[in-house]
Amino acid sequence: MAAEAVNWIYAAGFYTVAGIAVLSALIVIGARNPVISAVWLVVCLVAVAGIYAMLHAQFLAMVQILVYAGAVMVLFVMIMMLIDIGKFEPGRKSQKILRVIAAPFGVAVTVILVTLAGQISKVKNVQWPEPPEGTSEKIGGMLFTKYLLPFEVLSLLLLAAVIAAIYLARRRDREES
Amino acid sequence: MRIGPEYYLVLSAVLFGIGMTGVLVRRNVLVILMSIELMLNAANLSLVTFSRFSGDLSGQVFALLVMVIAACEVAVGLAIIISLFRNKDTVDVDRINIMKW
Repeated sequence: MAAEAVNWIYAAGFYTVAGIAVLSALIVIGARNPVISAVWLVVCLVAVAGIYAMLHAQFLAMVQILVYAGAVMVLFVMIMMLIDIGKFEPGRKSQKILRVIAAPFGVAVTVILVTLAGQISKVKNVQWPEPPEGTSEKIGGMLFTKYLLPFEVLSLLLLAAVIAAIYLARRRDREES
Repeated sequence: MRIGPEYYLVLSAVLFGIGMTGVLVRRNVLVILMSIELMLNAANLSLVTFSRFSGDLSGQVFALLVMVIAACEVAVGLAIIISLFRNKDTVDVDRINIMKW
């Protein structure tokens, strides 16, 4: 009886957070102003962090809020501040028609993916194992033992990305003069 | 009712589809980058879901690694946008056609 009530509360929480995530994602791709998109993307990312927390991935939920909703989105808004996003001209007619064709294609792929995802419980009986607690201790332990090589490779990738970003975004004074 | 893996996977599929539609439909290159972020997030969500329902933490470790890749992608992508804006004075992908003939 009590377990049933807990499940219902859990389901209500899931539907609320999932609804927020989907609605804010729709606003992200629908809003005319990119700044509005950025703000709603933060809402969507925080909602996904809530889903992570429901899946017992506490560390990942915190990293999601810190890295995505924090650092990455600040970067986005900074860039919007630097460049003039208001500079917009209506596209050529043929490209507009291409977009009208592209939208139903995106919706169709979404429908196919959702149908496939919904079949998962029919393919295999769902197990309910003890949820692994994604604490920083356990994730860090795996990162530095079993997955040490991907971790090191990714740190190299991060370094390469930093160098590439500096190279791409630097001012080319010598070439202009 | 218990919220099983299919609920999370459907949510992940919906978010991925929204992100893909955004990439296809929008013209502002900043919004396209944000849509790519949405798609990466959806993939992460299914990784974490499978991690939870297989009782193995590897999926969460990989989700963390995907986040690192996403951060790299944003850094390089935004640098390219700055560089493009310096040269072409626009963020509209329809007007960035210097490689077309």
